[in-house]
Amino acid sequence: MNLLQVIVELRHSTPLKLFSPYEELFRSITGKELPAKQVPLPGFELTVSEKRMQIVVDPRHTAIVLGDIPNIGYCTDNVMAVFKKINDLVKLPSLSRLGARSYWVGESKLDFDELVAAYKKMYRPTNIIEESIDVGFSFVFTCGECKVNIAFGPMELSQLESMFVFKPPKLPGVANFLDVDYYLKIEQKELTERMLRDFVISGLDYAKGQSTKLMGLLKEE
Amino acid sequence: MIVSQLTLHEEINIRTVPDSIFSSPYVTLGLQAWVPELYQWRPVEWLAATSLDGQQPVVFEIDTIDLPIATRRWKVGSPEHPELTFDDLRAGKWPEPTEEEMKKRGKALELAQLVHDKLDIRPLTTTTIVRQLREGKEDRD
Repeated sequence: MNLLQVIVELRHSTPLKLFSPYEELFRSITGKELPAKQVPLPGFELTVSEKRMQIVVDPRHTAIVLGDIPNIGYCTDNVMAVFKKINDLVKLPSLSRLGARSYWVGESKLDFDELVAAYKKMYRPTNIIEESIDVGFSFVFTCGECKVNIAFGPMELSQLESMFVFKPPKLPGVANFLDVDYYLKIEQKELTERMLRDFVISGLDYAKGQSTKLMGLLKEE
Repeated sequence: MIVSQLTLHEEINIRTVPDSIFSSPYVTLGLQAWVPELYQWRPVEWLAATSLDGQQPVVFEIDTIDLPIATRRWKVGSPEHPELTFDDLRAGKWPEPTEEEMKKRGKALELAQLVHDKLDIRPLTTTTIVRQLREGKEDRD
């Protein structure tokens, strides 16, 4: 399967300092904390079209999406470089969650109905399964301290096209789609460069392993 | 594969109704109370999915940026394969060897075999070393 999109998201446990002057002003005038739902500040979103990259920074999270991933090393390098630039400007606050979500697509030689039938064989036959015209699988795994939400199933071109922030130049007509959301929930952990790099590499390596397993499973069916 | 879209409370203008039973003058009923048919089962963890969605962001767009990544620092120069890039190598995409390269490799293997035969090279195992030390011999068996 080909890796076609990666989102790496850092969720902050306290708002990013870049946005704090408004909160401080509110606190100073009213003597109260600014209610979380009323944080008036807009986030920042930068699209780098040539690199097929989008960067989002807002009080509660910092995220980057990559739509051009020749290899996992390239992806890790870019993620690290962007987060380092942000961290150099304003220190990223402690984290409550780290996530690396990847979309994998593998072309299928079957037509859509045949592919759906191949997936249905993974289930024990019941009336519901037999009558269904489309299927999708969703599982939650653990991997060390991390949790992983995995969803996969058959997709047609029209649906595939809607899945990506940057539409890939070439998508198959019928494909196996795999969504791997690898994440770590933590209690106020300070971000280090090493931690982020290791997390992104392990997340993408884990997802690559799952994509290989899925393709192997489908061959057996 | 049908991907169910999240229906978040924020996306729906939830109606607020007066209710004298409660101490509060108004009570807010959730989406499921008003539109139960919209309820879909989904894993609890799904709500916290890794996402790019920002908080009503101010949007900027540029063509490219210069980031200090390995791709920029390293260049691959292979006269036989000028199209080869650093990222190809990093992705494990090795080019097919040319005919000339195959000939050279064949010749190198032949030479290596000749040297191997002439010098009678055999792997020096730990067992051999221990035996040689014990027996004070330096020749190979």
